[in-house]
Amino acid sequence: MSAELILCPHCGKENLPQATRCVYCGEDLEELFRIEGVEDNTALQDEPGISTADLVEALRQADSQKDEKTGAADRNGQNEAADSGGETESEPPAGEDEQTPEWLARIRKRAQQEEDAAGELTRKGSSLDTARSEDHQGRVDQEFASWIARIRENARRENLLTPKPAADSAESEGGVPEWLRKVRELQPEAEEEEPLAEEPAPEEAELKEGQNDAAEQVRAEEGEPNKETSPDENVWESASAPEEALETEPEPEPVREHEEAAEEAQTPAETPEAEESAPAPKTPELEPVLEELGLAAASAAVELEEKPASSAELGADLLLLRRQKENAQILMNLIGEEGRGLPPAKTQRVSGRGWYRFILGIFLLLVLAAVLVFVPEAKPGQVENPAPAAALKEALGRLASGDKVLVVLEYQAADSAELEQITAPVLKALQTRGVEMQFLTTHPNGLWLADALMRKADIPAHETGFLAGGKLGVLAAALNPDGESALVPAGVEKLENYALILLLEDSQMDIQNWIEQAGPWLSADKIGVLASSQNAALLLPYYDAGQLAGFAAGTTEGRVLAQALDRTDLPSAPSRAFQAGLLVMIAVILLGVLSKVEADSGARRPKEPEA
Amino acid sequence: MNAMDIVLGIIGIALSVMIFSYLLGDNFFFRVALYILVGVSSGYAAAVLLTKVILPRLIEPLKQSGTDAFWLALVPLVLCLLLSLMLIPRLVKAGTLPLAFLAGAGAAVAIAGIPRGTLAPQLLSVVNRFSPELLRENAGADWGGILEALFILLGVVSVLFYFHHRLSRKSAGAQRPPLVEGISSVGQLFLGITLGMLFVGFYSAALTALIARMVWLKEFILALLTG
Repeated sequence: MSAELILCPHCGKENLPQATRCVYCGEDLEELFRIEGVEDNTALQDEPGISTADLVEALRQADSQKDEKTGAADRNGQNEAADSGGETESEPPAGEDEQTPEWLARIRKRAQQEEDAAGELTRKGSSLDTARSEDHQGRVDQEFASWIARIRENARRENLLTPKPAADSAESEGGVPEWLRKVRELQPEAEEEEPLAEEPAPEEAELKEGQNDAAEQVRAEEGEPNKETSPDENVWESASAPEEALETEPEPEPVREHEEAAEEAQTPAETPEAEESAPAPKTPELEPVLEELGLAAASAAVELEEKPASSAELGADLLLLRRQKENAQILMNLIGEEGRGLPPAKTQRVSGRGWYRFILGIFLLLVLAAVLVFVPEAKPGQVENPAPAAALKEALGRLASGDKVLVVLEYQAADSAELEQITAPVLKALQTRGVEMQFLTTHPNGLWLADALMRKADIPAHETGFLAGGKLGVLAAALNPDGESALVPAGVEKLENYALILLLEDSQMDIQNWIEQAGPWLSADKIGVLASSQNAALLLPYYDAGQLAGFAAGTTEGRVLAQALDRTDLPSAPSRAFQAGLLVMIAVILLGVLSKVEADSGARRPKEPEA
Repeated sequence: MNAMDIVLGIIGIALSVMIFSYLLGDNFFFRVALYILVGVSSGYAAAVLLTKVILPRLIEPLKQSGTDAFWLALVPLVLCLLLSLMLIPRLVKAGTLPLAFLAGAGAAVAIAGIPRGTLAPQLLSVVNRFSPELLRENAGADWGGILEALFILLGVVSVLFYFHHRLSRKSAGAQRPPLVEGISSVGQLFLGITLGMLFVGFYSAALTALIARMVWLKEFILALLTG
């Protein structure tokens, strides 16, 4: 955990890696702008007070030294024409004054003779601006120098945190490092194939030996030990190769020519800086060895996410290192999560509860199946109908031949079995009595459910109208004065013209829609309801208030109502199975109550001794 | 029983078993059956709305150029277009107008209907049970009716007490007087009886649907066995 923290360079205390300021001293950490390996740039490190102008001057000197080196390399007379051309560009030609036209000479002479058109005051003002700009430039240079110093400090600290290669990794046998020997052991075929594919000529071998000797000579002159550098140092060295090339002595001429020829043969369009800055790709076989040697972490830490095409882009843009990109990704994720709700908490399932449900469900199914298969169906006895069902039976009994009844289907397919058992005998009785029925539905499913109901009731098929709009549609039908409203299906008359509006319902909301929207516009005892058993409790207050002509809810009341209408109930009404199902539920409820009581008493027992 | 009935019956049995598999918990087969139900229902509803509403009430009037029906049909057409613009994320706000129209109209109808259809009739029903005219009509005291009216009054008052003082207890946390506590307990008893009756109703409806399905399965299997 502490390895993930960073140390404040000012107070030395630990901070989160995402922090840009120290939580203890408040100083800038500048973690997001840290460039790893920058401490190796000793030229900048030794001069903390360096200014931008000095940097530009140093770059110019580097360019001039590079030109000098190029000139020295081509000293054997290959680029004499180029050198002479360079001199003609840098120095004015001797005969320039002679070649200047006469009009230009006059203009120059006139300009030297005349006073400045801006006058003395403008000259003073411009000199003041110049002085101010110099002060401002000095402050900018100072801030830039301090910024570079912070970057160096952070890079040094990061370098201390990154794992270093093992000490014995530098040990070599016969001049071959240990890591290279392991690599060669892993890839013996490649070692063998390379000489066959590209067997260097004796001249090239001599050139390479000369190159290695020259490099060793340079290291010896610089006082560096002859050892393998760490990966971050390699990367930084590769990134700062041009600067080092300026400091080293020029390579031998044949070596440089050979390298240039090889580069031109491989990638002529690619610049040398890009080739040097691009790290060599690691093969999967190399990764375990590098990890064992402690090189993988350091190399991964400085792996560039975006490789610029040239060193100019490398220097112009801040390098996006892996951790910086991770920080940016964290920030992007936080911004993206802004305003979103928390993910739903996963409910922890109680183990074993699913088995109780499965056992109870299977038990209920087995009981019902056994009753349906083995227990003969008994004839229902004469049961006194409840008052609402009796009232509905009286309302139905008042209907005579020619009276119009609007049958409104508002139930779902799941309740179709129950509603069909209740409704089919009623519809058959009305059909027998010569009552004219019209069918209407406010649910799309009601269209095909109406056909199924008519088949079940064994009555002729009627067209079913679809009343769209929910409660708005019901209100439009109730306010349909002449029965010609475009919002109401064709054939549906004014609601007051119907002797009875028979609602087939399984939803309390739909019942309330008709009672609240159409009821106030209708005379009393116009609405009768045949409902599912789940609506019985909610329909009773409306019946008591006199808003319903009557209702029958559930198969039991429906069966009694059918008997009252001299209609036997449907043969597929298994009352025995229904009774068995109710008994199972009563048993389950009793078991639940007993287990709850036992659990409560069991929980109370441990508390009593404590009390 | 023809081949089509057999195929449909087998599909019905498979779907029923998939639904029954919920006894083992939420699983793949239960969800597949549920998605089939929702998808088929939605598709059927869309087809019904297209043939029963959109074509006869929107498209047909637009064909009668220059008539009153044509000009009236332009209003729902514009609202439909605005509503369909909600499919484009940048133009979601365009759909607020038809949605606001629908919500406003629905709320207005509900607010007008609830007092007339539920509140006033229910209150009058309780009050009218204590009307002196009932004594005159019945030519004497109908003690059964009076007892029933008192019982209804007790239920209404105690349930209102329970809801009112439950909220006040939550907010204040003070100890209530014993009378209020007793009446609230009676209201809680009435609520328990009502909820129990609702549970029985729901269970009866579900049991009826289950039995009907099992009867269908039994008849289908017997038909297959007997040919």
